[in-house]
Amino acid sequence: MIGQGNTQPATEQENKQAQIILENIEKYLFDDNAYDHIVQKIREGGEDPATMIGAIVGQLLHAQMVSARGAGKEISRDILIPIAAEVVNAIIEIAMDEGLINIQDESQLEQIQGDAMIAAVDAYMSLGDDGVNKEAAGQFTQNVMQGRMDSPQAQQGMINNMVGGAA
Amino acid sequence: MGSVVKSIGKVFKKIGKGLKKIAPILLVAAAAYVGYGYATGWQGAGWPRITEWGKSLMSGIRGGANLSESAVQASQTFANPTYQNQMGLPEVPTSAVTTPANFPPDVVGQTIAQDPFAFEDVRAAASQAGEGVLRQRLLGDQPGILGRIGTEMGSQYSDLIDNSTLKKAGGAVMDAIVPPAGADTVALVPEGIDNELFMPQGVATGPSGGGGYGDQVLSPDAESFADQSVLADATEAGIPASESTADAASNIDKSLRTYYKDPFAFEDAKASASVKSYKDAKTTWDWIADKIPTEKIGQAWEFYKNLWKKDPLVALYGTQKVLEMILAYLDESDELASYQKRHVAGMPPRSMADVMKTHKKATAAGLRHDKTGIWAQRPSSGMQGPVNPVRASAINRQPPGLLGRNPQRALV
Repeated sequence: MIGQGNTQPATEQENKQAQIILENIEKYLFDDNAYDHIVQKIREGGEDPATMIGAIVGQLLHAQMVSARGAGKEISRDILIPIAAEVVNAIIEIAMDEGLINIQDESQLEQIQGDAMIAAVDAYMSLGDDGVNKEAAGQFTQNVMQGRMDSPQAQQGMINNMVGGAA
Repeated sequence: MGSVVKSIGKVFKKIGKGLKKIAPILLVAAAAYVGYGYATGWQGAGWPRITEWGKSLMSGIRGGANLSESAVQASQTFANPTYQNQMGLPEVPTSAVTTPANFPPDVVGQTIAQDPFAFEDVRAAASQAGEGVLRQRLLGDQPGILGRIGTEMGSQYSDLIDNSTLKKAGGAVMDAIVPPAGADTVALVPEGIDNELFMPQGVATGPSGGGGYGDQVLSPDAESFADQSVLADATEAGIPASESTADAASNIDKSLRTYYKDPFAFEDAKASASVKSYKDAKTTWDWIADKIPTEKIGQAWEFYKNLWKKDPLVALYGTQKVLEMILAYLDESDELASYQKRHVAGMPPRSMADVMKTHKKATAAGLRHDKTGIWAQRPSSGMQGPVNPVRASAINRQPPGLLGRNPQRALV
């Protein structure tokens, strides 16, 4: 447990799952046809690219979960948010490379990242997943609202590992 | 997405490295958004439209507020009946707060077996009904969708894996995201989300049905997935247990506390609230009421009652947070009452600081309290002052005539 017990690093098994999902998505994004489609989709997002980016991310993740379940494998839902964050960043970078987004400063980047994360959750949850532990999710929100996640220490676990602390 | 948000190790190898990582606080906020969605509207109508809440949360965080402040602010702004109505959402019952929907076990197998992706029904229903109705009609509880698709795909996949066609199946899923040319669309999901993912054509028609599988490169490697998932155990949601009620100090005290004892004694809340949430709200109030001065119970009660009416997530704040909100409100109301009392003839009270501000402004504007300043600028009344400045009184107080020092005056 890290911080106040609300965040913790993924287990080895979860890390493995995360890597597989990320590799699958990376392969997909680097396929020429898929890449063009993704760019086209972001372009369709018009003035609100964050929502479109989030929708793509949500669907990509959902597709992975469906595929895994179809193969009789269950993926831990606890790692979905960090995975989504990585995919969001990847697609933002694609959009920037393609000149679809012009990010001037850090604040603007954070806005797109935050809104895209919300849109990703919307897309994923709209598609549906009965594997998400609703009670635990509610408990998490309760913790947030009660200020138990306010301290940076409570959020530290993620960033330590996401920058490569745990390989 | 459970009781924890776990960090992951290595990330993309080639892309996404040129940007600053998404801050942990934003990830925690995204996770909180999931729980909020369950708490607000996950009863029959699927994932609620609470995007504005999420954006408000993110915006608050970017603005420098901490997570809890941003969340409370967002929910007070957007999670009220007015907002719900504006967004076309059903009224959220109070029971959503502490009593998450009791989802039935995934019975997809049976459901799909009876009516596996009845396309015509879907299209017909989609054209005449709203999204929520459609979901209810076709899918029952939304959380089962992945289970449905997964179960269905699972049966197909057992063959697929043997036949080495899993790669194509993966392509079918990606067809859903990037539909092949000429693919049909089915209006099943909210605007902005591709519809086909609900019904991958390859799955619906079977692996040998053809037409649905694409050639995309996505190929979930089933063998490389870990053996089993590790899901966090659910923890019991709810609010802290109340403490014992202190004895009232007087009859008045007792009667007040008894009078304000029923948290749901308003409108139809009692009818819509579940027994559990009703009890929880009552327990919360008992706990809070013990900590409020007796003379303020009435005000506190009004605030608490309105809080429940307007914000269905009161219980998520926790009893301590609600108490703080009530105390803050009471403080504010004291100040307001004091301010009203200090009015004179309807004029607002002015402090010395206010006077000085006015004075400074006047001075800055060139006004002076002398003959060269403000007074000099006043228009003349037209009246002249007294000619003899020695005496202005109409009453002559000098002793008259012979009795005084100036006897000649008596001759006048």
